[in-house]
Amino acid sequence: MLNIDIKEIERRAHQVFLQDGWLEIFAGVYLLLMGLACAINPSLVVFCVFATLPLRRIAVAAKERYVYPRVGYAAFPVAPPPDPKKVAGVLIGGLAVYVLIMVGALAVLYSTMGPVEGRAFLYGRFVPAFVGCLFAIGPIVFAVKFAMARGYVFSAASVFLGFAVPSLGLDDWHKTLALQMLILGVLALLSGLVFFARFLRKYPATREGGPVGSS
Amino acid sequence: MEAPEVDNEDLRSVTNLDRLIHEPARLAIVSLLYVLESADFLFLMNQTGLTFGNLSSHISKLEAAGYLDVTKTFLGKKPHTTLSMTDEGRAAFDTYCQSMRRVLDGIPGTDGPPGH
Repeated sequence: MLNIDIKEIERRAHQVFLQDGWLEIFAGVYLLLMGLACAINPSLVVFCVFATLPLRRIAVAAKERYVYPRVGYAAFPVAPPPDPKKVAGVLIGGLAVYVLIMVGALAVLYSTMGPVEGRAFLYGRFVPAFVGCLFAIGPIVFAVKFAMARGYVFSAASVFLGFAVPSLGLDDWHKTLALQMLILGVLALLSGLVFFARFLRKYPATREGGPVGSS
Repeated sequence: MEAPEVDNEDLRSVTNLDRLIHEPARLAIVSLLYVLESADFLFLMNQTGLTFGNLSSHISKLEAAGYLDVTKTFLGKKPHTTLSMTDEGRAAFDTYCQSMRRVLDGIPGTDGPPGH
């Protein structure tokens, strides 16, 4: 029975480039950097954005060196650039939701627990759980869009750490956040390396007409 | 002797199918390139499971029909072929899908037409 599922073909084409583990390696290194920055001084986390470009370059170079000679290269259609007004709207909307959640949580906690305990709960419990849930969004999007089951696992781990790490009772809220990001980063990095090793074993390096080395 | 004209619209769709695309290996190649901007030879080989010679021969036919753009370069000393679908190829594939949809829609028990 002839049944061409164009969406499935597209999804599988994307999956080819997600099985090499470089997405996890990239995310892992980024989370480790953020964790280290948070452990030193939370305001340093903002500067992690400057690591994006060099990390991306490393990932692209690694893909060119190890991935494309094994599975080939495919370029996906580039979506037209989004309307700047729409982007600004989404950013402002996201920020507004974030502020609303934080202020709402602050108001509820202060009124029910009092200023001292409310503040301690906000930073000690609520913020890590909130960050854990935030970090879970990206992997879930990947998991749904590309049928990438490990995205669900990573999301679950992120949410779990958001609740579990505060239970360790570290004295400073930013140490809690730092530990959360460091554990998540190590998990992502290790799983990425495992996937990369599996990828290298599964796909021997080839070029057109035969394995690399043959002419 | 001239072939008699086909009255049934659905059957006409079958007889008018683009045979160049209808061949299974070429259908796989075209379906894949349809969702991509471009792909190299190795990617197509891995995805379709075709051998080097087989893929090469099918690509030549599609290129000759103007359905594919083929760019040959070298990466170091190794040849590197990049393929993309032309507008003509995309239009032909759209037409092929529509024809198949009409045929399959009329057959009970089919899961669905191509392209869905």
